[in-house]
Amino acid sequence: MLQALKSDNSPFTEQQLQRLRDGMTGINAVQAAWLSGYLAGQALAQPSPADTPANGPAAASQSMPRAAVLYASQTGNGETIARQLQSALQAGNVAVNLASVADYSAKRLKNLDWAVFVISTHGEGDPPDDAVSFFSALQRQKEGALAGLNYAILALGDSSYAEFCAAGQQLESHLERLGASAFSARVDCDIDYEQPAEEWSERISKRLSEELKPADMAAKPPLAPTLSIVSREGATPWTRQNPYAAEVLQVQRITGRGSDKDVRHIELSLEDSGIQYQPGDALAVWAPNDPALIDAVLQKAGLDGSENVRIKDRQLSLAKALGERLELTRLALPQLDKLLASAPELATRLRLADADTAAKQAFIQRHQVIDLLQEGHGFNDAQSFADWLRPVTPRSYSIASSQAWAEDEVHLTVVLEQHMVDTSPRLGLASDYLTGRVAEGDRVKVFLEPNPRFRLPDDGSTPLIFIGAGTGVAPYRAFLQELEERGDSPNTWLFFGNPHFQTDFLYQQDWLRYRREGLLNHITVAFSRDQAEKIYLQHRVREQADRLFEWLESGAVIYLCGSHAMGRAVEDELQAVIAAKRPGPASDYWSELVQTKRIRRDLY
Amino acid sequence: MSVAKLSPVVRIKADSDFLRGTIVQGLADDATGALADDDTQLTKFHGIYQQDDRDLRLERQQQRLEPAYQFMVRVRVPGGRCSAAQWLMMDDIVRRFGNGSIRLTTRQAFQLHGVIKPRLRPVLQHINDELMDTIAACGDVNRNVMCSPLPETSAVHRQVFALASELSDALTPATRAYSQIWLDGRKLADGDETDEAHRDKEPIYGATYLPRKFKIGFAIPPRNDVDVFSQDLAFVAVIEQGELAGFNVTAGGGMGMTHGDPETYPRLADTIGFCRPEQVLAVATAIVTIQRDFGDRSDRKHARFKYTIADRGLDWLSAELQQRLGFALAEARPVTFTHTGDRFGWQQTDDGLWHLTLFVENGRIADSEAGQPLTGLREIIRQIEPELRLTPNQNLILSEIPPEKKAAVDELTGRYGLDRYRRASPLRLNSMACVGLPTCGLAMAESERYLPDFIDRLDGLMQQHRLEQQAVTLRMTGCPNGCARPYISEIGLVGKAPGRYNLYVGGSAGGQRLSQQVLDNADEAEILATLNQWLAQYSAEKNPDESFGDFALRAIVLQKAVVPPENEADAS
Repeated sequence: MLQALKSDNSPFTEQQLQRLRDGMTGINAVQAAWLSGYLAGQALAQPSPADTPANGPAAASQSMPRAAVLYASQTGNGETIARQLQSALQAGNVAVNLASVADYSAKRLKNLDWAVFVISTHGEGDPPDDAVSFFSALQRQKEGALAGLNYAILALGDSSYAEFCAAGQQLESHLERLGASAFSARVDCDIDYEQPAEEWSERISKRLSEELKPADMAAKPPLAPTLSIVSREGATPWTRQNPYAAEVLQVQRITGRGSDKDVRHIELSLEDSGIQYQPGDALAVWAPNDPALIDAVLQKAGLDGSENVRIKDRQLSLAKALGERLELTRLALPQLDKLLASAPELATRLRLADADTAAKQAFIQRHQVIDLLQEGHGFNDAQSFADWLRPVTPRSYSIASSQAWAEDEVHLTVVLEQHMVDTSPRLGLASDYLTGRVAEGDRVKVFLEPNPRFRLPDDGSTPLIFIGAGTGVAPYRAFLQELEERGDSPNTWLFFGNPHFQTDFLYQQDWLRYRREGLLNHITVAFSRDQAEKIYLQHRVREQADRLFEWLESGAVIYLCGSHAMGRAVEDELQAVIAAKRPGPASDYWSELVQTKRIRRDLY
Repeated sequence: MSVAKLSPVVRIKADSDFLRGTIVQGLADDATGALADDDTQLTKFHGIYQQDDRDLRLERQQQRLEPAYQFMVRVRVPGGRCSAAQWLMMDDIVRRFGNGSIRLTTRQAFQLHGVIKPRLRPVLQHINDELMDTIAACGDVNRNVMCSPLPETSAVHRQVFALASELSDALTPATRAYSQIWLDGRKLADGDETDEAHRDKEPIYGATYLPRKFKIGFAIPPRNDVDVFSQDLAFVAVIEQGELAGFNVTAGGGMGMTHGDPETYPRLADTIGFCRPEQVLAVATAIVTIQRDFGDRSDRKHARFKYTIADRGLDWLSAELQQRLGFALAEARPVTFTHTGDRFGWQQTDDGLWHLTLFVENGRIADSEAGQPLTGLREIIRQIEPELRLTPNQNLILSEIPPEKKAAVDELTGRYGLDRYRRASPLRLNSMACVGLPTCGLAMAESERYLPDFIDRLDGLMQQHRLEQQAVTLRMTGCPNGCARPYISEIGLVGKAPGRYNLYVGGSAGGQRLSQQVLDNADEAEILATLNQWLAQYSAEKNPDESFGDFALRAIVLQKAVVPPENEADAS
């Protein structure tokens, strides 16, 4: 793995390199990438005096690289890919900047020759929240402004959502209009992004290494100022690939008798994991498929599960692969299309023969793998079935506790996702696992997904408006716990919405206690189904326009957490409030709120 | 008396601005189903008790939800009389805003249970629109005035009922808080006389109202269905030559006590004299103001009128009364009570109209798999349009039915299973239970939900001892406060803990004598074993026409050296 390193192109002696090569034997690419970040973080955390002269005047005298790796990442996957690419380039002495588009002015693009983007799409085709202003800045630039820029795009997405990789496509159309040209074709990655992303990275790395000859082979590779793993909170050995097995301490239903929703409060132990989370972060959970579902799928697919299949580089039984490696509860459009193309009679049976994309999209939202299988018309062999299935992905939950308060515990708020197909319930993978299949004492594989965009402000006196529907209220419990622990008491206002007051007022006791104790100043609720006409949060926002605007004028930060539909509706209403209260275009006021991070979103 | 010694409720009343408090703000707070603690004391005066579903208490605590707060709304029905339209309104609102059941109370009132906070205003508005109200149905004021619902002489009854109704109006609090809070400032539909000049003066009660609740009843002998000896004040009709001559006045009855507190006890009323019909209002007002001025405001457990009288004596009361009235009460006249229960089935009054008394087990009317009494009554009342009378024993009278409609009523009561009065055992027909769990905040044990099962078992014993035709009054309460008047029944069960009761026996069938406690904190097995032994003894040894209560006093209570009754009331 370190064969390319020599004593003359690295800071190591031959002896050190040999030991390193021995030590790296058997380390896979992912582990190596993790290690590189970890060591970089250690180095930054304890700066060695020897580094200073090497990176001092020499680095400063270098001209800014004319290449950049820019990322817009929602869960951190895009950022990881971008970092690995930059590391690889730097290993080859190719100097590139690495930055999040959130911190990168679109105007600086014209100074670049090469721009490499790793762009994830979230929600319904939107770029990540903090990329929005970058995108709109691009939109405002004049045609041809970026003629001369060479770009490449890796788009990340999830084909089970309607607008697969739309943010990447959107970026490309902006760049095309501005006259930039692609030096490598855009690659759209689905949830099993690792392999295509790696291949893409290798291509880009190779091309840029050729194009950007290191100015001075003798010079040490500059350490990118943004490369700082320690700045990423929660850095521990526990990752997506190497999750922590957290003990389940409690699974408590928190919707009352008669509720249509099964919402559970789940407490996990982080014990000695070293995982440090901040209010606003998410915890991702790897959930195994339900054994009963696996049996049913196998039966319908005409397979028995003992067949050997190859998943990536591993051989394992189909049953085992279905247990932990393959997705059974979410469908994706390409997956559906592939099956329909090979089985036209299935299209007829499912009434999808003449369906357009929207109709198919609607279909996959309401169905699972099992609904596409037909007894007697199974897959020919286990391998082709496994290949047709997508890899399973972890599911993320906004953390409902503050570590300052909960110490070695982490709390989640999980609603059982369920809908009926004919008379059979179709359950969400992790929500069914967490609400119904784990018992206290079991262990659940988790890893932290930091969410620096959704944090409390540093200034403990900033007024805070928390708007959340359903389980979207979870992070606000964490925020209030944190404020309580810090001893801060800014003005706070909670908006909460759900169907019924009596059964669905999640964490009602907590909110009422905070209100009694003065930590929470106002609670505004919208229970949509307690009266003839439906009342949602946006209606309450309208009713509270005067006070809301006062709070905004006094510098309040607004948090939005819950579904995209809720987020959109509330934002529309907030903009209407501003328009009504303020002369001049509401969009300016709004843009400023967004740009100054006074609107913070955690929508899914 | 120093302010520091006053009960906290006195301060809440004094600071409430004539019963307003912060009720309006509490109604607007949609983050909780509850009202502010102090306001829950005040809403009682408006006829509203904050409660929660106690079956769900623990579960909801674990679910991080507040208790399932809900309200009981008590509707005043002076003398128990209501119209068909009023009944149909009640039927409508319990289904739309309540828990689907109408509860008839031991004081001839209606109760709705399970009303959530946002529905309180609509409920109260519907009630007031039908010329009924809830004000003073609870609280430290005069409660629903009771009146024997069906005396055999209808002319006398009309006179007595009119007086009960008039007295109810006279003692209704004058504050405008009620209409302002619940009716959006509308005046009471029955013609609230309050005007700007008298705004929020309480000429009878004053700003802190009475020290404690106050109960008034009118009885027409030989029926003692209103249990006059349990009332703070009662008027017992004296009928001479078929005419209403006036009333014997009784004072100082009351049931409530506290387990383990010997300073609290049930007490029978004393007969203090006789007044003419036209003196009733003056006598009642004077008595109420005496209690207002002399009742104990430092200890709510010692604040009922019975303790005022017990502490100061009857001579003091007579003197005080005479001073306020300007005349003395005449000497009480002889009257005789024979029973406290209802007479079920058809009866005709001297005006030729018919009245059907239906058995309503524990006063609860709700549709279930077992039957559809709520629906049935709705159908009957729509078709027949009878007057309705709520009895003091939680039963219902379909009243003033012309002879030609009797057959239709029989057909309908049969169809909807409302004719249990034909089949149920005399023991069951003479039983009462308070509401108890899961809604009453005071309950320590099951009451209404358990009594029917208990009677199933006791009926078995009655049969075994060939007593199945014997009427015995049996009353159960979930706590010692005595809503179902257990201390003057022949068998009384007073809840002490889940599944545990104190057993009382020895009350008289006519309600003139307190019963005595014979078992403490007993479970069902012990209670049934004990009763089984006594029923066997009763069956074998009773004198002809001797009631179980009288036998129990003679053969059980006295022989067990239980302290004998301190006073035996005599209505004369």
